[in-house]
Amino acid sequence: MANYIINRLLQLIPVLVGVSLITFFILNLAPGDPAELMVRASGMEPTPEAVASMREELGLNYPLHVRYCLWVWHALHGDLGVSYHSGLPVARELALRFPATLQLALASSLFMILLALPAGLLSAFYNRSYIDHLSRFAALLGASMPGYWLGLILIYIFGVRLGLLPVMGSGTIKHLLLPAMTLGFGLAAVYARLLRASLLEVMGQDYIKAARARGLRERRIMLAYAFKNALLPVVTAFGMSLGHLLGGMVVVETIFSWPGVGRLSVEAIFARDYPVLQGYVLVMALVFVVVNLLVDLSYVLLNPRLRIGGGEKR
Amino acid sequence: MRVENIKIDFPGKNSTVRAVNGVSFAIKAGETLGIIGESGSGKSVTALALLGLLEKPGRVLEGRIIYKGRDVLLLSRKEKQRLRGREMAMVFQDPLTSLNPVLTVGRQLTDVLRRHLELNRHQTRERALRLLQSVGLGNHEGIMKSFPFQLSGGMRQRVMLALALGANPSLLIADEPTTALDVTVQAQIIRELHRLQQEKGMAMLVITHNWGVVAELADRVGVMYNGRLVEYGSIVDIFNHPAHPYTHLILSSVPVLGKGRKGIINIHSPVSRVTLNGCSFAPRCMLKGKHCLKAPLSAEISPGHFVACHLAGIDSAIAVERRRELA
Ligand SMILES: Nc1ncnc2c1ncn2[C@@H]1O[C@H](COP(=O)(O)OP(=O)(O)OP(=O)(O)O)[C@@H](O)[C@H]1O
Ligand SMILES: [Mg+2]
Repeated sequence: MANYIINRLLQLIPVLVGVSLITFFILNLAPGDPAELMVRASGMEPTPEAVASMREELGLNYPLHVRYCLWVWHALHGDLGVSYHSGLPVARELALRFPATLQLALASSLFMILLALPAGLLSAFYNRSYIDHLSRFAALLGASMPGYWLGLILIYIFGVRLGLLPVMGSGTIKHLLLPAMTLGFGLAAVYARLLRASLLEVMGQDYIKAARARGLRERRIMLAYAFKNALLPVVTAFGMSLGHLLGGMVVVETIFSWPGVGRLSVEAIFARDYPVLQGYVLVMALVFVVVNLLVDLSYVLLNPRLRIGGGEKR
Repeated sequence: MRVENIKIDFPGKNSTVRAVNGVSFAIKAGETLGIIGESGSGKSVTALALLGLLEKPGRVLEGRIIYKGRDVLLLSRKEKQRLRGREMAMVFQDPLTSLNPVLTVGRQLTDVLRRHLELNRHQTRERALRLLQSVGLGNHEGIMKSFPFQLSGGMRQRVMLALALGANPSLLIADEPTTALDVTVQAQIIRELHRLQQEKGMAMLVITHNWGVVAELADRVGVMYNGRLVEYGSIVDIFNHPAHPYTHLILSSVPVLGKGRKGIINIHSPVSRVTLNGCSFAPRCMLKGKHCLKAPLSAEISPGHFVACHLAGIDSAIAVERRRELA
């Protein structure tokens, strides 16, 4: 087990190198010159001389591969550069913003679980009943509504019409509710559907029929015999769709002015703030790999065959 | 347990499959009925119907399943649940897929006991251990903690047996209990079944492809073909005086060693699903004649020996004639 974890963490190295390399070159291809933007931002006329000197100041005058090597060298020493925009060290910017993102991620995951588990279970247990139809309709709705749209609707209803919840910023639980709901609802829709399908498939297995033949109650069969088996594919899917989740966070943070790293990255894109973007991508890749590892570990915990190891005896 | 003329349909989109078409039999306490027949003849479907466990589109069209004076088909869901495990239990064909892969043997075993017996925690555990011992599983402390995939095929089938016997059922249904096992283990499981039945005086319904299993365990035998019991009688009737051409066919496909006839039926021909008016075995019957255009009724050719063939019993003179012609 320890070996497995160490191995997976070692895989981080090529992933981080690859990801940073790709962003570095793609950013360079993107239109817009950060030096010119900076000059304009400081209120000066972007004359060729001013832009050139700004470029030199930002270190953009070196060729691309040199810049990349320099960036890696500094990154290895914990220095992710300085934001063009705020002048703060990138590492500090990220560290300041990360807790908010983590908070939102946890809150929306909690919301997702609280919604998806009962919905999936009830939907499968009362398969084809009105409860099932209702829950599937809600899930279809949730899965087909884009996050930004749902976010705006929620803002309109709870913020503008009812005036119940703040629609911007952070700080209190109340601030957390709307963005967490926006994100959690879309996710819950996906996973409720997945859990339902997985449960129904498991409920068709021989060992469920055998449990029924022993007279166990249907509710017990669903919860104790089917649920754990049905969770396995759901966990796998969760690991695979992590990227979508991170993407969704960027959108939701922007809509609700949530001071997380997602919104930071959007600001950085508009400002062509290369160091911040580089840092963001690096941190997200790290998060992605670590969470994926956690997902895989929970899969192992759920599946005794992987946990105990050892082959099939005959 | 008495089964009276049950018919089971699986309605499909375009056509309906009649999986069981008028099957009747009876099993008395302490007695074993063996049902033998080729794949798809409706054996498992019949067994599941006894427990009220037919899967969705399938339904019992008509007939009665009388258990201890009550018709199982008329019981409520709750009553049926209480019957399963406590009164009737079932051992399935494949012990690997029939055990929950993510729960330990102990967990699955104590679940049944807790469901049906009023025992405290300690007593439940004691009983679980005794059960494992009674089905011949030696190191039972270890087995309680293991997951199905850690056990061998034979051990798994023993666990299935322990699960089925947990609440002392009076009828044990074993659907091909040995098919997934290798030959030596098959023999052990058969012996175990025999011993347990003797000890507990249960009634038993054994479903199989295998004449050996029938010979070892059954007091009476039903031969099933295409949803019908084409022949039904005591083990002596079936082995020594088989009357239906299909019984002849499957008995003769068995290698004969010394005086015992044992082996496995290997004839799996596509069963015609066209609902013929006549005898459904006719297309494969070497004795068929024009009388076979009419479906034969089951006739009692000697006490307790029923055959559904025009050539059986009173008509057996014709049968002899036709056999001579064909020979
Ligand atoms: N779920 C189902 N849906 C539709 N038809 C079914 C279903 N289950 C069984 N049948 C039909 O019932 C027939 C009898 O099936 P059954 O499983 O009882 O056969 P069997 O005698 O047990 O065969 P085997 O020896 O292979 O176990 C099959 O040929 C099939 O056409
Ligand atoms: Mg079968």
